Order: sequence, then C-alpha cells, then structure tokens
Amino acid sequence: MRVPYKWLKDYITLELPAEDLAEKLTMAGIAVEGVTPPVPGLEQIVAGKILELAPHPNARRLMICRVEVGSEILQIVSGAPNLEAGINVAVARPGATLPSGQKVEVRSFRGEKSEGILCSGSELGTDEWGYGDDKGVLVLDSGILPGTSLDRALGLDDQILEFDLTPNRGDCLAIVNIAREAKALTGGRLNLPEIQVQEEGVRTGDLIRVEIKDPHLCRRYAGRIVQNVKITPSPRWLQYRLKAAGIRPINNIVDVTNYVMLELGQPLHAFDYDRLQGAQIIVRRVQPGEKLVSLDGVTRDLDEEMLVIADARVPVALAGVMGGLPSEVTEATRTVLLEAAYFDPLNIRRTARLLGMRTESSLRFEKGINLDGVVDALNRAAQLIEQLGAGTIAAGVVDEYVRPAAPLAVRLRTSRVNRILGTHLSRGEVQEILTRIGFTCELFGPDALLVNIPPYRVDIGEEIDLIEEVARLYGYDQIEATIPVGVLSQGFHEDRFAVKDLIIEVMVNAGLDEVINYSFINENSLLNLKLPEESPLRQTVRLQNPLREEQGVLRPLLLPGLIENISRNYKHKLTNLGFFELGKIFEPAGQGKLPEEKLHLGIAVCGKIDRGWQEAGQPRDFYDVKGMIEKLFEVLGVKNVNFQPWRDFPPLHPGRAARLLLGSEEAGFVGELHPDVLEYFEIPTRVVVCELDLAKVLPLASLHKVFQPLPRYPGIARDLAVVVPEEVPAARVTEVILKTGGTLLKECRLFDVYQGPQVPAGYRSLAYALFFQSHERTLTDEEVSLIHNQILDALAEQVGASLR
Amino acid sequence: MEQEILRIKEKAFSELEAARTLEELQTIKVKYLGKKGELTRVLREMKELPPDERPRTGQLANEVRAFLESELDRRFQNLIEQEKQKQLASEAIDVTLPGRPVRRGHRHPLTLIMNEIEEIFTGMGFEIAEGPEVEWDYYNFEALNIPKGHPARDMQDSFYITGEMLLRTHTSPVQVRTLEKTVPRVPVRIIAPGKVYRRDDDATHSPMFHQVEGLLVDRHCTLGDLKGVLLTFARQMFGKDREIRLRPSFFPFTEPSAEADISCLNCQGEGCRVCSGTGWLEILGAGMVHPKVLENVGYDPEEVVGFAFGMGVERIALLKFGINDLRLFFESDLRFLQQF
Repeated sequence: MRVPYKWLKDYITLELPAEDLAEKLTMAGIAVEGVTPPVPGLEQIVAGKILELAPHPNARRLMICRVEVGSEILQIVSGAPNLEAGINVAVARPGATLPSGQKVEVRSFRGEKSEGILCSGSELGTDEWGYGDDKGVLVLDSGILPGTSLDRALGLDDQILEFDLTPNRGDCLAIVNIAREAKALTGGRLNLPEIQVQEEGVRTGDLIRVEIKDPHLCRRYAGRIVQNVKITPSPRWLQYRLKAAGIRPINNIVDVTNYVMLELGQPLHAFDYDRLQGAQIIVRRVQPGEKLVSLDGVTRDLDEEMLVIADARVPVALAGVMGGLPSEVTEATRTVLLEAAYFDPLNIRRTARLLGMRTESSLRFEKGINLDGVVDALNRAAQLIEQLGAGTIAAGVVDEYVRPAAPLAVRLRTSRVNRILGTHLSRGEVQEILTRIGFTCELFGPDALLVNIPPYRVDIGEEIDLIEEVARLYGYDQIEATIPVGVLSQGFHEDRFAVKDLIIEVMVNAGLDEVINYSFINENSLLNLKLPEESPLRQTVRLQNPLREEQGVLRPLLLPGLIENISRNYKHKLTNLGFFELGKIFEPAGQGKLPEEKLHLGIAVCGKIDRGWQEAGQPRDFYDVKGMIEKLFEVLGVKNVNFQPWRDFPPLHPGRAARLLLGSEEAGFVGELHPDVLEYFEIPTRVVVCELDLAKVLPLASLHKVFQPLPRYPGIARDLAVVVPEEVPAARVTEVILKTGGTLLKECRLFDVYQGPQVPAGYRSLAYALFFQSHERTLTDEEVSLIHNQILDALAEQVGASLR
Repeated sequence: MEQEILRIKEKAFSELEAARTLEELQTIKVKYLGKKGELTRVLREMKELPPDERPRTGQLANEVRAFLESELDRRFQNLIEQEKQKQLASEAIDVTLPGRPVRRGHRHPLTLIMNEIEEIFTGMGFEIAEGPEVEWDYYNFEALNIPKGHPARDMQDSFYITGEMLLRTHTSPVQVRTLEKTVPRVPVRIIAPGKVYRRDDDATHSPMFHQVEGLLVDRHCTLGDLKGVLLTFARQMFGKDREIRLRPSFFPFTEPSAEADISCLNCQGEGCRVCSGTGWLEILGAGMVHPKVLENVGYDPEEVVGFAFGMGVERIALLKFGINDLRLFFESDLRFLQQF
C-alpha cells in the first residue's frame, strides 16, 4: 500500500514531517518501509524564465539563453529544439545532481560559458508523471515564478509512504483508516470526507434489480446508476494521486472507483449498464461450463465454487476479483452501474489464488472489508463522479443486505491488560488509549470496560485483540524489561543433545569439516549410487511441489549430499577433503503416518593427509575413516562394534566395504565408493565414505565414566608374530588371542602386517604387542610364557598360524 | 726439590692451559698426577729428604697437587662445556621452517551459532526440545491459530508431501507438541532448534534454513518478561552494549506480537548501510502465546500465560560473522567452512 502524504493530510491535520509519522506508525505496528518523493531530486531543480536567446557563434545547433532563476540571471547553452524567449523551463543549476548521477557544473561549450542545464522531462524523471518528454526542454506553466523549486512547481512536492502491512490489518488498505491511526499517534484532528450525493432523474430501483442467490458468499450488494456519462481522462490531481498510490489512471469513471477504494477500502466496480442483459444483477455461483473474458482480455475457466456477478444470462464479472471485458466502461459508455458489495473473504481468496489474479480488489475482500461502509463508498463514488461532471446520479440506492453485521462490544479487564503486558495501567488510562483510536467504551463492573468495536476494525473480536491495541498504542518501548519470576534453574541438558555435541567434537578433532546439506535431493542421485529399484533406500518421501526436480525427494541417506560436496570442491581444485554431516534422513512410514526421521552421521573423505614438508602426504583410505569411527565409539562408550566385509552394497567397492554391526544389529557402513559411482559424480579420485544410523548408536552410548583403580603390580610386555593364511581376517586372529589370553591379557595391539619375501605366498605375517598384568600380584616370566604358548597353540589349531 | 716441584707446577700448568681436548687433558693428568706421574714421583722421593725439610716440602707438594687438581678440574669442566656447546651448535635446526600440520576440522558456522543460542537459553533455565521436520498441517498451522484459508498462510509458502502433510515452515509446531505433553503442568521453558523449509529460493531466501523457537508458559509471565529475556539474549549474543527494540507485529499464534530489533552492530545505532540507515537490525519475532493456542492443547488461558519467540539462525550468523550471501551456508565450499 502506497499513500501520498498530501492525500493523507486531506483527512487529518498533521504538523510533523512524513518521516516522523512513518516512524510513529511503524512503532505502532503499521510498518512503513520507506518514504520517498514521487520523483527524487526535483527539489534541486528550479523553474527559470528564458529572457532572451541567441545562436551560439561557434556551433550551429546550440543556443545561448539568458535565464532568470529567482534573483539571478544565468547564461546557459542548450541544444533543445523547443526553446523560445519568454517560456518557463526546468533549470539545473551548478551543484545540482541529475537522476542519472551527473553533477551539474559551470562549463564552457566552444568558448561560451554555460551556468547550468535546461532539462527535459525524461532527464528529470517527470515524464512518468505526465510532465515533459525526451524531445525537448521541459516547459512549465507560464504562471510559475522563476526560482520556484520544480517539485513545488509541478505539484510533486509530496512524500509517498510505502506500507508493509501485516495480514490482520486489512483495514489499513484504506487511507482514512491510516488517518485514524495517525490521529491516535499524533493527536491530529480528523477530517473525514462528508458524503453527499446530488441525485436527479429516475429512481435507481426502476433501472436495475439485484438478486443475491448465495447469501453465504455475498452478504451485501449495493448499486447506483450514473446517467449521461461523459468519459474523459481524469483531472491531473486525481491522476497524480492514483499514480502515486500505484494505480494506473484509465478514465474518469474507473479512476473514481479506484480512488474511493484507496480512500475508504471498499472495492467498487463500474459496469457499462447498456451491456447488461435484462437490467438485472444476479450474484450466484458459476454454472457448469461458464467462462468469462476478464478485463485483461484473458478467457478464464471457472469452477462451480466461484462466485460471479451475472446479468440475466451470463457472468459479467468475477465477484470481488475482476470485471468482465464485455461490460467494460469505454468511451462509448452512456450509463454506468456502480457496484459496491461484501463478498466472503475465503471464497475470494480461493478464486484469486486458483486463477492467479491477486488484484487490488481481491486483496481487500480477502482480508475482510467494512460491511457497514458499503453504501457510504458507493455514495462517495457518486459524489465524486457528480463533482467531476462525469455524469448524473440517479435517485436512490439499491441495497440488498441479506446478512447484516451485528454491532460488536468486547469486555476488556484492566487486570488482564496488566497481567499480560506487565504494566500498571489504570482503567482510565486504558480507556483513554482506546478512545484515541476511535473506540467508545463503557464502564463494566469494577475492573472492566465494554468496548464498542468500530465496524471497519474487522481484526478485533476478542479481549486479547484489545490488549494488543492497548499495548501498541501505549508503546512497546514504554513497557519495562523484567526477568520472569519462577524457578531459576539451569535448563536440563538431555544426554541426547550432549551426545550429539560430542559426536561433532570427535569428528572435528579427527580433522573433518562439518557440512549442512539440503534435506531434499535429486532422485536420480540414488540411481547414480547404483541402488536397485527394489532397494528400500529407493522408497523415498516425495514432495508434491518441489522448487525443482533436483530437490524432488527427501533424502533416505546423507551419502548423496556428501558425495556432491566432494565433487563440487574437486571442481574448485580443492582435493584434500574430509566432510561430515549430522542430520536427519527420511523413510516413508505408510499411509496416514509421518515419515520416520532418523538422525544419521555421514562422512566422506578423499585426497591426502598433509604431513608437512618432512613427509609425503599420506593418502586417506578406508582405515582412516574406520579409525575415526572406532574413536567415536570409544568416546561414546559403545562396545561390541564389528566390521564385516560387505561385498554386495552397490554404492561401495565390493572389496573395500564393511557393514557395521553393533552386536548383531546393522547400524551403518564404511567403505570406498564404487568406481562407477565416482564416475557418475565425476570425481577422479578414491573416496571413502561412512554412514551411521545414530538411532541405533545413541541408546548404547554411555557418557558416565566409572573409575578403574590403577594397577599396583608391574606387567609384562611380549611381542607375538605369526604367519597366517591371507584369507583369515585379522579380526579372527585377534579374537583367538583375546579369548585364549584370558583375564591376564590386558592389551593386544596389532602393530605390523607383512607380506613379502620372508613370508610364503598366500600367507601374511601379523605382529601383535601383548601386555599381561594382574591386579593381585607380580606376574612371573614363566606364567606369561605359558599363556603365550597357549595362544600360539590356539592360533595354530584354529586359524592355521605358525610362529614367524 | 722445591725447585723441582715448582718447575713441575709451571710446566704442568702451561700444558694444561694449552690442552684443547679432553683426551689431552687426561694425558696431562696421568703424566703429572698419575701413579707414575711426575709429581707423584717427586712425592715418593720425599722420603729421601732430610726430616726437617720434609714438612715444608710436603706442604708445598700437596699445595701444588691440590692446585693442579683444581685447575685440571676447571679445565675439564671448561672443555666439557665447550664440547657441549659445539654439539648443540651442530644440532641447530631452522626454526623458521613450518611446523608439522595439526589438522582440526571445523564446526559449521550455523552449528556454532546454534550452540551459542542453546547455551544462553539453557543458562536461563530453558530446556532443549525437538520435533519432526515433516509435520501435519494441524501442528504447523491449525493448532497455531492459522486455519485453512487464513491469509497468514501466504506468509509461509510450504512444501507439501500430501494435502495434510508438509515440511514444517517454522519451529513453532514444537510449541504445540511440547504443550500437549506438559499440560497441565507449569512452568514450561523450552527452546527448539531445527531445520525449517519454505518454498523460496533467492539471494536472501533459502528453501531450507534453521530456526530456534523459544516458549515459556507459567502462571505469571508478561510482555515485559519477554522483553527482559530477549534483552538478556541480545546482550549475551551480540555484546553488552546492545539495546533492543520491540515493534508491534502480527503472528496468528501470538498476541500481542512483536518483531525484535537490536541496535546495529556496525554503526551502533547511528544508521548505516547494514541497517539501511535505521540504526536497528531485525533479529526475531515474538509475542505472548495466543489464548487459542493454549486452549487448543488444553491449558486454561485464564490460569496460565506464556510468551514465545522464534529466530532465524542464518540471519544471526550473517550478522555475527559478517557473511554477505546466505547460499554460502549450504554450498559446503571448503574455503568457506575453514573460516570458522
């Protein structure tokens, strides 16, 4: 909503600058986004009178003008074709800045001094407002005093307030209601238009009959007839006001309807009466198959929920949204039917949305207009038409008012006001505040007021609405900041959140950078992961209305996003990468249920670990990521973690992938991406990824540490190197060692894996550092040797190992 | 003999001074003080002196011996020190070479900001709550006093899964889910951080972003309390000189409603480009919980009062870190991530 300040001042006495009023309105919840003059910079330009002009001695096309601007006379060189002695023109003096950014200076043109520029309308931007063009200097009315600033000379010395209204304040789509707000905030005197209609001739009721077929969707429909219509352009002041408010002037009749809509908030429509069949208006729903060509020339397909204004035969307007082209007011129009009505907000909103026609009219109807003001607006339009000499007004109004508004009074308790706001207002103060905004109040019991709600304030229906009125008019800045009373306790930080934070900490310490990816992915990326159609991961939650197909489904895995991150950075030549993400994935849960949301941890790494200048960078591999996961489980206190070779998970390299088991429960995977996947995502290097379902992990996490007494007796360290067939997994060897070692074996650390000349083909050597210790006594070499030998025997027997 | 002793002293001393290595010094020690050393020999020959000369000569010999021993010791120490210095000098390294890289990763800037917000509010007695990102229309709209067809639905264009199911457009449904569980107990103090989704994508809007919702419901609680809590938050988050300003606004689920501004971080309220000349930066929306919301979940709005607020995490991160493009948060560019 754009409101020219001068127009607003028609309805209220205001002494303060527009910017100050804007600030006050904003702080009262009627937000003003900006205050700008219609044409910025015009105050720097002045009217000047060309006293005389002579050809430039050295340039054929240029003229030298002597121009009177107030007290001085300037010499200005100009090439404009429409120069004449005696005319008033627009002059930019040295020091002024033109809208193009050009600074005006004293210059010399072929030896002749020029103390300024004679400007065209397009140079100044006034052509948009009907002043001047790009063909010559802007010529002003002869009555204008030289030296007058151009904004005043053209009547453009105005400020336009641009409002950003909240959806509840549809009433402020009327300038008179903004005036009411201004009154409450400044104490200015209201000066609302006095509506009087000069009627003559026939009775309206004899010319038109109105029938409301659907009283639910149309509570009121009123009409007036204008005869002897003379269609002309509107006078300049009217055109200016409409344009300043953002509406294109059309002709005197249409402009008046728009003017009254802006003034009073009531959308009006003007029909060419002679185009209406049967002198009849029927307000009804669309009948099957009906169409309408709207004013913008588009043929609209209508549905049977929509409300139309029809004549005896066909729809002639889309109620509350837009009129129809056939009954449009044109230069040929002789008689006009003016319409003012009240339509159901939800229905208008639905129609406007479905047809993509958010008009000034629908905008107002869908927020709810003043049911009581319908006929006033109609009369106001009639009054203006009559005043403009655009036609004569037939006697009386037709007014079908099928469901009248009941006056509303709301009880407001002073104690409740103070309880919600934390204020200490008296009933008298509350009453004074409400009176300022035009609400009348009666005392009601010892504490309360009975507040009469004006019909234009459709946003107010309950006590809490009035409390908000009191708060915003009293001023939020007057309300003291306090600290809530009550239990002052540190908020309880659930373990769940502490664990999440710890996971991030471990990942960051492992050198990984955290990413946050969109929850929606391209469904094709699941195809690129080689996931077959029957994979449960292909059963995704689909958006009905994605912005684009690349964001069509909710992710069933974090993996696609992380791979995308690697790919994108690689394209920036960033090759040593390590990312992790902690986020939710989504699984369909069947009809009538919300999808399952599971918190996952995802990791993707590639490139090398930078070891500085002493060592060559070490390529990141499977074991790097596995190490991170092992560290994570250690920190979380999760035991019983197993990595099982996983040859048939399509996204991963079949020889370099593991399924992660917690006990026997599957909780994720670690592995290198399959070369095909790398190719799809255009990544020219190996990438190791991991994804964990934290829903499986978090219940097992235990952050509660229990102290273990320090050992009191020294332990004994032994190394053990065995040669085993290469197909035996290391984990199996470790398992045998731990099992055989019993309680005295405190540590079993694999420190070397070797295959080479000293080891037979098909075998590998595994070397372990073992540590034995007892809590009760010092161990002897003999007993340790005994266990050591038992371990060797067990290894020989169970995994075919021999001592190296 | 005394002459002999003094001569030995002179000679030994000058050799000792000339010695350059520990080995030379050892040789000198053996040569004069060893079992077969010159001074030892002289001492042995003392028996042959007349008895009256013996004490004097003996004393002299002992003095010389003590002198040479201490000088030897001094020279030993000197030379050891010299050797050590030489050794250390030879071990010198170029300390200006770069250190071995220690790689620590980075929390995402939004995580950092959310951590900070959570810490501030848990310090004020708020607990952390969560809710699903895919929500029922009921929780996202209806229960929050936004019925179907309400113009306020235009403020939040939604991604739908089905007619009744959508990606939540704000964290406010967590208010409803929490209150459903707590009713009729008070006090309720929660904050709910999380992802939210709106159908917008341009330089200043991302289809997915983060919010932190706050809710307090108790027997006593006022708009003034809301102001106090937000002021405390603003000062902890943005510095103790920060001022806040509440402007009346509209949300269907709070009334009275407010937008909260903080004094501009860049110009301290003077007015600059960052704050579009107003001196204020909008950081969150807030208000007193609408009685209908309380009623919808079974609280009696005559008995309990509440306030709620919601802030955009990206907005706060942009302000705090001086980031100029929202999209950077979700592009995962290493050069961006490594700055935090």
